[in-house]
Amino acid sequence: MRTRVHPIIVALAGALAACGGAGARMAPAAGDSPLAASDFSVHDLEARWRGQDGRERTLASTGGRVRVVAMVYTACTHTCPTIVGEMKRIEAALPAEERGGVGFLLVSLDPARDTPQRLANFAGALGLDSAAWTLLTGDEGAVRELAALLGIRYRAEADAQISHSNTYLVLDAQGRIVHRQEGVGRGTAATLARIRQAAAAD
Amino acid sequence: MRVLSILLLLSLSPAAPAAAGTGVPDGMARIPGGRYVPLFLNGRSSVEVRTFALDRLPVTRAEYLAFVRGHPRWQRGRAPRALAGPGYLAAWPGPLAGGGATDLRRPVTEVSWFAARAYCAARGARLPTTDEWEYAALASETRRDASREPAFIARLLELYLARRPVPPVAGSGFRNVHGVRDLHGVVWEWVEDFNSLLVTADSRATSGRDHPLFCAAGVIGATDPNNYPAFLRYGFRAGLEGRSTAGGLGFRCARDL
Repeated sequence: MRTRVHPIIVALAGALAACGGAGARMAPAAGDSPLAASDFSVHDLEARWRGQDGRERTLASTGGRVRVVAMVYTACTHTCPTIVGEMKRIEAALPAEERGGVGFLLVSLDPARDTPQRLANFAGALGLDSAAWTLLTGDEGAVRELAALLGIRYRAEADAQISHSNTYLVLDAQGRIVHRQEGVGRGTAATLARIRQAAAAD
Repeated sequence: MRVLSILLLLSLSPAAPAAAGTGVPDGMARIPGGRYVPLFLNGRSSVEVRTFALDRLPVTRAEYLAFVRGHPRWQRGRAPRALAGPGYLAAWPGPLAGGGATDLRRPVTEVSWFAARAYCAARGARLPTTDEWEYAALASETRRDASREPAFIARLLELYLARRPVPPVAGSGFRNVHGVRDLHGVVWEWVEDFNSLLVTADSRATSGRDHPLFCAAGVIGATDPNNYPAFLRYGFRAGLEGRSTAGGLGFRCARDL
């Protein structure tokens, strides 16, 4: 049975989901990437979050300025510190007079453990200035929804860590995605350019 | 022959009496909780699934049409592209026309994850998780877990391979022991955590473990390398974005019990 079926399956799997990924079949047409989908803003998401100060927030309430956003979790011992480190370097690289126009948003992938207090401790330990940095925790559905919108994949692992896409994005003041950075350690020049462009357009 | 007559009996039995008193909503089946071994364990030994309710049938075009009538923001042409890609309900004759009588009985397809989720939420339900869906889908007509039966797996493969571009009317597929139909061979179905499989741009070296999923090496790390149907399902989900739509992709809803 197995030998009869196997080649068919290889063929089907190839058509559906060859090593390049199943997305090929549904890949959006060029020019229709989520980045270009400017008809939607993360500000339209209705989910309510809590900030590191314990206050209730919506994503819209963080708007009005360009933001760099990543989804991380405070118990992360792998790349989250790297992502945050790179965001801090971006912050430091901005000219002082432009810095006030840019916010930094960290949304927890681990709402069960990341209480506002833990977010505050995390921000303190990493020296994140609360005028620029907003840390948010919400419910599981809100996290899944935002991750889907930002194109971030994640999954809880057995070792209490959470595997996740190594991605951060730039939102304009209206909450539209204007840049997406896949992977850290690839330089910040492109991101900085998009931030300054978005801030200047605002 | 005996199996056939059992099948016949099952299919003729009146729509399961809506489980009065058990708290299972009409049109849903109670899936008794238990442990199962998913295709990818990610370091776990098995996964516990709590008792939940699952739609007996995939959501049909008629049901989805009623939803978009009541929720205009989800009508084709109105739903934001970021939430529903360009193929959203593309085969419908119009934003408020789901096709002829037969078409209306087919599972709705060409719906994004965001749209499917909004539909379920409007019903006070939610999408099933990957674990819930896979757990319910282990069942054959007679057994809760038939996933280690070569004949069952071979049959699922044949069902997958026989799939048509336009799905048959809902309820055409076999009815499993839980009273749920069409889990196999009708349409692929959205799950709440579709974006939990990491295939690109991973944050951790170890999460690259899924990357060779679709290559021959992908069987490494899988709990049952013979379960090709499961590979196909995981592979399909791995390629999806929240706004993706496809002609062969539908959904059904779940609820806590």
